[in-house]
Amino acid sequence: MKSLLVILVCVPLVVLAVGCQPSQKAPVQTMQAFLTAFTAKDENTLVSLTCKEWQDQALLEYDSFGNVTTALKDVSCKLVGQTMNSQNETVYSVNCTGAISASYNGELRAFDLSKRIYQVVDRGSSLQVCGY
Amino acid sequence: MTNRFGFILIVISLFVSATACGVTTPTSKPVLTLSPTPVPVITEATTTPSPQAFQRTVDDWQDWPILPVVSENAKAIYERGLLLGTDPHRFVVFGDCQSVPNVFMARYDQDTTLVSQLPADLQETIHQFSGSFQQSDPTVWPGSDFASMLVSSWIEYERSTMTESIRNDPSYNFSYCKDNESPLDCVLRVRNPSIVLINLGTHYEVRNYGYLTDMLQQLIDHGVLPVLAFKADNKEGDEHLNQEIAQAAIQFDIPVWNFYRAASALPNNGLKQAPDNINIYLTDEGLELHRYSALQALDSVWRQLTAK
Repeated sequence: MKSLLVILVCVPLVVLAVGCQPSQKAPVQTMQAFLTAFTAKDENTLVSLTCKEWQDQALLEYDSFGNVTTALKDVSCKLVGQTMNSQNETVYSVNCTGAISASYNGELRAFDLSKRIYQVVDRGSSLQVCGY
Repeated sequence: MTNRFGFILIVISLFVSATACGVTTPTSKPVLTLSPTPVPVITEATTTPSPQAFQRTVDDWQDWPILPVVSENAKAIYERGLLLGTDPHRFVVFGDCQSVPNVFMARYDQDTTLVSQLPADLQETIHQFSGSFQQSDPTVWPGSDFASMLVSSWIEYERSTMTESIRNDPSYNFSYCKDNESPLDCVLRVRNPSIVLINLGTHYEVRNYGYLTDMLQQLIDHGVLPVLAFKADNKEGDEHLNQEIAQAAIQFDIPVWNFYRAASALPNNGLKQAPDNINIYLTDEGLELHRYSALQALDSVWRQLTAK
């Protein structure tokens, strides 16, 4: 009976300990969701995925593309690094290949994403994009 | 007792594991006639009122003079800039597709026949700012709004054209701009203008006013005199954008070129009739007036700034 109790107590705790570590995929998914919101002009989602301290800059960029039709083109992101910041938060470095395609009045452009390394920070309850 | 304690532990641990890992997935119109040469004549534009002659209010923005009025504050910005080293022979335009040099004022640098037909004072102004009329800058691009002037990604966007002819044109790759430099920062560093003509506003966002005032503050901090312009269109429907421009002009006490009023002398405010009634593109006549009225505005500002 005691060993059953130990198992019943420990298993959920192990699940908790492992499950709360964002998987390798989570920062990448957050980054892709951010880019999708950016190009779909979904401001609410964009803000929810952005650090408060980087929000003004993210919205400035978002607004600067407000009059241009945008879409993601062959975008694929991957985790390229992981560090801790001074607040003891995990900072994931995410790089994406592909582009944001943009058109205005028939003029087509492809904004290359590969030059940017985005910082995705684990804020405990969520992962947020905090700059590049 | 042991069983009850164990049960509590199990329930607590299961509750914690279920809740702690919240998965986050992420009035009166000016009279305008066209002369045989492509030089519109705006009757009203022959004089510029003194700053004391009228009090600007947002409500009467449509009645502000076409030609900018330069206040003592505006002169102080300009003079401070010269002390900081701004170039008195250089002005820069912030604008959208209707400010691209070939559409706007490039011909004042390129067409000597046209220039020779202009009044002598305007020829003098063209000589003063020679080279500024045809220069391509990252601050003029189709689709630009106030926000675009403030972010480096807008230059990256401009460079990323997929049209080969534009991509290979050195005037449009803005290689002189540094990475992470905004269009505004780039032109201030490279062109070092003393005057910036801000011909934006057709494209806008809800946070427009904040971007406009940020931009004005940055220019003034660098000793550059911003000259704002009222646009001819009313894309937004309630004319609040020209009202915002008026508000900013009053807040910063800087000059405004009232192109809206100049264009009101033309049919449909000089705008092409669009099928969806969102009229933003100037007609040929509107573009001609836009160009010439801008030159008059620049001339007026320069003469007021340098008047003894």
